[in-house]
Amino acid sequence: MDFRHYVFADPYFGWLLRGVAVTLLIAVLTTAASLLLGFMVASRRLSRQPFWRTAGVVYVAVFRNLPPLPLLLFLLFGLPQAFRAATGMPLPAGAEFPLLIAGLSLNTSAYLAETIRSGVRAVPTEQWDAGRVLGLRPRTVLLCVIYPQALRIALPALGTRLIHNMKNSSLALALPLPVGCMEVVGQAGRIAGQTFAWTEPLLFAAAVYMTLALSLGFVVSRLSRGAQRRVEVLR
Amino acid sequence: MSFMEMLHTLLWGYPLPSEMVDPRYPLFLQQLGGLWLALTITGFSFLFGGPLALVLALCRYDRHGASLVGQPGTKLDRRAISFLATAVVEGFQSIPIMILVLMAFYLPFRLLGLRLPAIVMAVAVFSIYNGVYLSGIIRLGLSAVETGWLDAARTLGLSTWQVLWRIRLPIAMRAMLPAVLGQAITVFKDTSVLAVVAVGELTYTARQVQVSQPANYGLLLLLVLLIYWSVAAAGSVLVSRLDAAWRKRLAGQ
Amino acid sequence: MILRAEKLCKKFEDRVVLSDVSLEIDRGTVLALCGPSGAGKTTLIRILGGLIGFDAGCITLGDRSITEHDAYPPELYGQIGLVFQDHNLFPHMTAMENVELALRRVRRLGRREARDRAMAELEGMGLADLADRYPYSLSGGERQRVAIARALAMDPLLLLLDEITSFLDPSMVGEVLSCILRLAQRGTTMLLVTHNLAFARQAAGRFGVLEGGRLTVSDQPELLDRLAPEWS
Repeated sequence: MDFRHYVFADPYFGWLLRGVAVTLLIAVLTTAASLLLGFMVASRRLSRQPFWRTAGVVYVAVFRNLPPLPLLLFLLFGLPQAFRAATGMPLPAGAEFPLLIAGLSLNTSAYLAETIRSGVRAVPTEQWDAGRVLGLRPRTVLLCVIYPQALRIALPALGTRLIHNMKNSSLALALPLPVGCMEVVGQAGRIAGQTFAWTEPLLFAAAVYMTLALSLGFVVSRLSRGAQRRVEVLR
Repeated sequence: MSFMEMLHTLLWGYPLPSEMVDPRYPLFLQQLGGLWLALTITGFSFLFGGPLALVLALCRYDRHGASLVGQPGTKLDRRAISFLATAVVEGFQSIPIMILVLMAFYLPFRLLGLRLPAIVMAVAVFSIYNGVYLSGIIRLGLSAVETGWLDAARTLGLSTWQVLWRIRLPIAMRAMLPAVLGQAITVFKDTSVLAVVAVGELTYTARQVQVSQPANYGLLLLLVLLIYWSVAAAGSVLVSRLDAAWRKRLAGQ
Repeated sequence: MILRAEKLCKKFEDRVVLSDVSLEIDRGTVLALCGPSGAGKTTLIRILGGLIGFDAGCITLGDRSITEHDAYPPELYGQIGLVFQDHNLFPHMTAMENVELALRRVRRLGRREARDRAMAELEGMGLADLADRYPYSLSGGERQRVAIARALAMDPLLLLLDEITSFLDPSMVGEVLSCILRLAQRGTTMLLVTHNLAFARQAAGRFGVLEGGRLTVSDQPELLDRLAPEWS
């Protein structure tokens, strides 16, 4: 083991730090995007209109059952090919990173939608009635009464999925991203490509993910303990 | 290459060149590829990961801090074992499968000089990965078994292990089945990560075909997605059926 | 003498549930135990059945004596039968398998022998036709009868019954009580916890009232009268 030469050496450590930053960026962007998408899909699934309900079901069924890596490969290799076949032009440069974000978010949002929906189902129906009796419109009841409670109920499951989403950023290793957009495992691979030493940078990347996942897990369990208590008071 | 040929290759993979086959390990495993290899690795990850998961789960205390085996233990070593098992589970769960796979393929050789066929490594890493996640499911399942049943078994004179083996596990098993099947689907989808270390499962096979069929890569990947989706969706339908059946049965209780 | 408990005490954290409880049960007799909810009846039953320990006192069961320092002797499980308020039938086994289980795994009887023995118990409870049904498809009364058969199959020295009809529909209470009555006439030694005073008078030869952690025992059914207005 030679961390001094392969991890804490001049260009390499900078690469790895940049990788950590990109990992965090991917995690933040995909979390935001998939929460947004997840809520949208969940509310479609709870809608009264059969069309929207079916659309929500199909979205979840499609993206929950697709493995993220092949989905990303399709977005980054298959899609440009189809684009070129259709328009005769290559995909604009710099599209890889947004496509990566999109692919990861599609996957995670399908899970989140399902979790949010079951959270909403777990809120007692009397809460609906109580809101409606006060004269609130259904949308207001959903936003101000149901979702806040559902979120608290679903928080542990949401947190687990979002941590998983963060870990999914390592899939970017298998994708043709520009050097600047590589996350920490990708940067580890870059070092391995130059030095033939995989072990040290890889262990560094593992430590980074471990730290992130464990501390996020701690935060989630803290938050959900408080949230659970408040929901219980509500009952 | 015709469409049917492509599909056939994706299902079965490319045969390993005979000079790369290691005669010390099962031949059929090394020559398998494509979808069947992905399914086989999933299967083996349950064969080896299942017992691992059970052991890990039994080492840990349940959610309320009670031992899952017999009487609540207060001895220090019992607590140390529980702590250790928790550390193993949490530790492995916090590392992405991509890194676990890479570590499995680079670390043993670098640290121990151990060179094993790719398929053996793949089965090993997925067994550990699966075992760690399964242990959480088993632990939840075991701690959800109502104490009334355990009390009844004890007053009948069953020993600690008999209570675990004949009462607690079977009852937990039925409640866990949907979650375990869901885990199987997850593992199956995650085998796609093995493409980065050139194990010839479904995703890697698509890359191999692409070498001679670059113009068809998009179509190949679409096919791959369809195959994954069909297997996983069929599994999901089964899961929800089982879930509904189990709920119905509990409601009749 | 099958059971003698002397000066039993039990605390849960700081709350005293049983203080200085003594009782005796002779072979072939039935003791009915009554008392308000939360008086510690279930706790007493669980101590006698070896499910929880106690803080002071002595229990003699058959020829074994246990003090608060001893672990419950494993061979006593099964010899002291317990039927719970909630039947606690194993949900993954048929009625027959429920009754058979301990005969095969604890008594180590052969398959045929265990089956015959279990069948005899089920027949005794009038359940021969339902032997292959799972608990979820049985009625509440039937489940409780299977639970009684399960405890009886081990041929217990003493049968502890913990308010076995309190979770049942009123329409099903009769069938279970008549089974118990039959057992009493056959000379089964029982400790019967019940809310049903009329039934207690009918089935038991001796009566106990557990109140405020203390137990009063008498041969006279009039003992129960003072409870009647408040909670029956």
